[in-house]
Amino acid sequence: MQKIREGVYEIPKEGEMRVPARIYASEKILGKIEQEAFQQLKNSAVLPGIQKYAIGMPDMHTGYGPPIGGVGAFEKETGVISPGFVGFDISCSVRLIRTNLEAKEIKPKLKELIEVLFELIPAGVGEKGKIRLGKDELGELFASGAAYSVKKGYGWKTDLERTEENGKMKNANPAKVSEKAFQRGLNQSGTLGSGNHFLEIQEVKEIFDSETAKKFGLFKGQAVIMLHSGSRGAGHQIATDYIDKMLQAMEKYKIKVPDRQLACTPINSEEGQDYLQAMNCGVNYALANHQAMTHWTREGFEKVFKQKAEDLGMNVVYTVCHNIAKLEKHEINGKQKELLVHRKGATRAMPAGRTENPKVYITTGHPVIIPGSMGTSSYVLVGTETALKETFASVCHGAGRAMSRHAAMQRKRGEEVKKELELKGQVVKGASWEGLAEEAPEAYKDIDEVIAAVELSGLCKKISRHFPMAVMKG
Amino acid sequence: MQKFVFLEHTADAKFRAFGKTIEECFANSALAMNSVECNTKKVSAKQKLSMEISAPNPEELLHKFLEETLFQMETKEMLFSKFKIKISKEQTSLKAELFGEPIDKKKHELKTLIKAVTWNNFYLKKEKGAWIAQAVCDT
Repeated sequence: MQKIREGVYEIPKEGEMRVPARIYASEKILGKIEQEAFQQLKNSAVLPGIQKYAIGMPDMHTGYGPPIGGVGAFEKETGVISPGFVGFDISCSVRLIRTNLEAKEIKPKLKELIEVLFELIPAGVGEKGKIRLGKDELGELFASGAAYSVKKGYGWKTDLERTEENGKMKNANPAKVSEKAFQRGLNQSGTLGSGNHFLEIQEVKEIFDSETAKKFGLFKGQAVIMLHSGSRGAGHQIATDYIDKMLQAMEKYKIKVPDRQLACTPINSEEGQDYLQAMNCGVNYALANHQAMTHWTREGFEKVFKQKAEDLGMNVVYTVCHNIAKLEKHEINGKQKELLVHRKGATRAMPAGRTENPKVYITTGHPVIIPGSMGTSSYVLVGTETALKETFASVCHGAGRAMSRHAAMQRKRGEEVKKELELKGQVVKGASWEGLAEEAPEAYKDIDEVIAAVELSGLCKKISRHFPMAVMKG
Repeated sequence: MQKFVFLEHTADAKFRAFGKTIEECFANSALAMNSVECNTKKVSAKQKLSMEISAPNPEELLHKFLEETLFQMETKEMLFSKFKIKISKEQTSLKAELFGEPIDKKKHELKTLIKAVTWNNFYLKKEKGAWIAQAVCDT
């Protein structure tokens, strides 16, 4: 591996690799990344049409297919689309909701708040959704995302302006979604899920750029809410269906991949276009999911504070996704080209001026929301011109796991994890003890180190750091 | 013979399942998958669900069987603890009966939802007269 500059390393092209692999990390973090994750990044560099580099972020770790924390951009005319490079949880996203409240005002009510939110938001294994959709309604939701939810009374119109793609991914065609994905989607709209999905009430602990923070509606000592969830069973089934389809179709296109999980077809093939339209339905499902949970979060706060959510200033700051493939224009050898950028556990970070930013954030660049592990900090960043040039405007997506779920469970019981966090003054409620044990803070890399590495390599600018006061785990 | 064992994987649930026969290996794979979500010892074999599946080869048959089992778990909101499986002589089709009950938060010691059965490091093979399957489930 060669050091390119501080925070940037390269694995030269070898074997079947079409491009080199680049890893954005500090020396300290680099030493913690598993060999298998590097191999998965090299495998990703084999895919047809990949441009410049297969890119690994500092939170990179072993996944399936590409590593989690991987980015790959493919030329629209000659490149491929790979559902495994998006992941099963299509559009797994993070939403940040602000409030006018100061952390100290909220602290005495945290326990009550988490209890109320647990009542309102279904979370964990086997928890049924409260929204029961008919097939036609689900089709409409697949086609129009968060806009559907707002129409049905979940949330405010202004929420859409502060969501990627204005809350509705275009080119979403429910006819390309299987009957099975419909069935999995019917009863899960507005559910948090399990694993690393969460709702946190956080305190803004540090502001690094007061001018930008002000534009994002953030201030020191403020109480904010962070929501992490995805497209649930509907998205998982869309990915499953199309990976299976592409495995069958690859021979026809004479494509060979080093790992079946990287199954892909040309972007312009029938299978590729079908997947793109179905994936966009998955994105819309996730956006609608966030919208419903935002509505119940506001309801919970209204109940506890006996004030209207509008008066509590509970506006969405932004919603940004970290499992997706998006068509974007980027510069390749001095020319603007249309590329399909796959981000698997990586967050889009468009700098100021780019038209992908919502109008409200055109002069700052949109907020890049990076959740930490349970009991540790989360960050708001903005992307830089360096990120645009080098990583197709992408940064990390979180701390990244350092320990398997199994190892974490062997190490500590869920009850212990809860107790330790409570001793630090946090309120913790999980849908299951095992879930809490699996998500123990020490099972993850140090988020502060990860963010420092992203900053070191010049991909982002820090805006704020938040610390959890109360956690609801699925 | 051990039914299954969990292996180290940073993000997801990776297991290896064993069987003297291919049917036993399929059943233990499905049991391993259910045990990612709950304590299967607490799941009573009260209700029966039948399925028929075919695929071009035994390995893809197992993958499809696990995908279908996961689909049933999620859409029927059930967990399963016992499996009766019959596999054709060509090992390209199966008839299965899954036994379990609706998810009960108080009873089943629920853990983590499986999102999907991946193809990463997935295999089914016969070694020294016994069957071994390996899978990574996204959680």
